[in-house]
Amino acid sequence: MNAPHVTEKLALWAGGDLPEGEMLSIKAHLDSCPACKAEADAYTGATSWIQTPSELPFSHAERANIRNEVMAEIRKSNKSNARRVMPWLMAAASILAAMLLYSAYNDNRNTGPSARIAQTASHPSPQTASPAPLQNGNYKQDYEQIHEQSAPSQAQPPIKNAANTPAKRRAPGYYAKSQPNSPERESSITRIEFQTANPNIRIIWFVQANSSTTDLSGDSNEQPG
Amino acid sequence: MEEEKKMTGAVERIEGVIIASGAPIGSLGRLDEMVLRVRRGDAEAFNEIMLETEKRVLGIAYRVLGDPEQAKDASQDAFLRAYKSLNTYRVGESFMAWIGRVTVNVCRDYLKKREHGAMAAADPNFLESMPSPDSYKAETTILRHQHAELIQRALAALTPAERMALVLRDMEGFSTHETARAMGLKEGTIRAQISMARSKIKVFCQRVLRKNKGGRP
Ligand SMILES: [Zn+2]
Repeated sequence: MNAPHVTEKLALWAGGDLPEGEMLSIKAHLDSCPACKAEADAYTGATSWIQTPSELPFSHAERANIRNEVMAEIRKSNKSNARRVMPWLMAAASILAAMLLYSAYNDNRNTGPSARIAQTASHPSPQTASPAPLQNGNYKQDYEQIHEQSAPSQAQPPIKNAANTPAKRRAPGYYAKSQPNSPERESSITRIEFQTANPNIRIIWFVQANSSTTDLSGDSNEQPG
Repeated sequence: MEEEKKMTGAVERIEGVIIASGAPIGSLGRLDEMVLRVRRGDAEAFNEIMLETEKRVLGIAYRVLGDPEQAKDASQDAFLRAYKSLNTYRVGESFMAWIGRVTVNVCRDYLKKREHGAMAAADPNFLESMPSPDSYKAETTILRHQHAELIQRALAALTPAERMALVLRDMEGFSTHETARAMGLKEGTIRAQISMARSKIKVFCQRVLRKNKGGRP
């Protein structure tokens, strides 16, 4: 037998981990070399022995316990995740609910004689749809005034003196709504303002009653809602 | 074919998950379906995933670590890690191979801890401290115990890397490619480790098993 022995490759050969050509040439060598054949048998026996499925020392109860522990951990972490998100959801929901309530409440009162929310003339020009960047350009102050003028259906004097009125800090939930009384009423804008619990955040809507063009691309220094 | 591709795209969007390219839709395995359920928020489906995969996870952990208590802890960690990183699994691939990789990584961490002395240093006689066969399932026969115990003793003769490679390739049925991927090594390195491991197992068999009833060769 002159062909070189293949003992070094037998470990991989036993597990079928060599390229097909090499597997075949080793097999051919084994057929004619008793020494390599004996070594190959030892490898094959050892490999098939290690591959024989063996018992795991874990009872059903132990395995169930592992699963239960894992599921408990997962539920706990999911709960704490939910706990982190819930306050934000609740806050958002309560703000929305408060806004809707205020809106409904004030709409009702507006229709009666004792409407507290002022309806004021705001825009002299139908083209300038921007909402009451009024005389002093300060929405806060202007709408403070709008809110305070409560005589309904009277000709309102134009707000000219607003700069002299100090800006008040709005109470949370403060709500103001304005509509023009002018002849161009149909082309003007209603402004709805809502003070959130955070004094730095106020939500303002501009609602246009008809189809005239509106450009609200914010020269306001407040955030529109 | 084009249409099929479009369908795949649609499902990817609907599920909002990564689906392995080329995975035929509609042929998702049971495990993949459970994975999708967990991703949709049904955390309880993970219990079913554990039921299906616990033998593999416990098997790898026990054979690599050699200690049943550590194997249980490592399995628990592996399942938790799998749950947390479930989004990295590409539906359509082999989930068994994926969870095997997760388990191997956890075991590697356990072995590192051992090396750094946080746990008892690798004890060449740790098999001596294994619980006696009586504490295992009562109905298990002595031969089965012997076989399992001898396997553990044979594995204990290997280095951790050889042991891991052999466990994955020969005992868990990973391909060489999958083994290399799980261990983060090149296939050539894995072949060398497997070759060395089989040589040591062969020697173990020649020396030990012939004297033992549980041994076959
Ligand atoms: Zn030979």
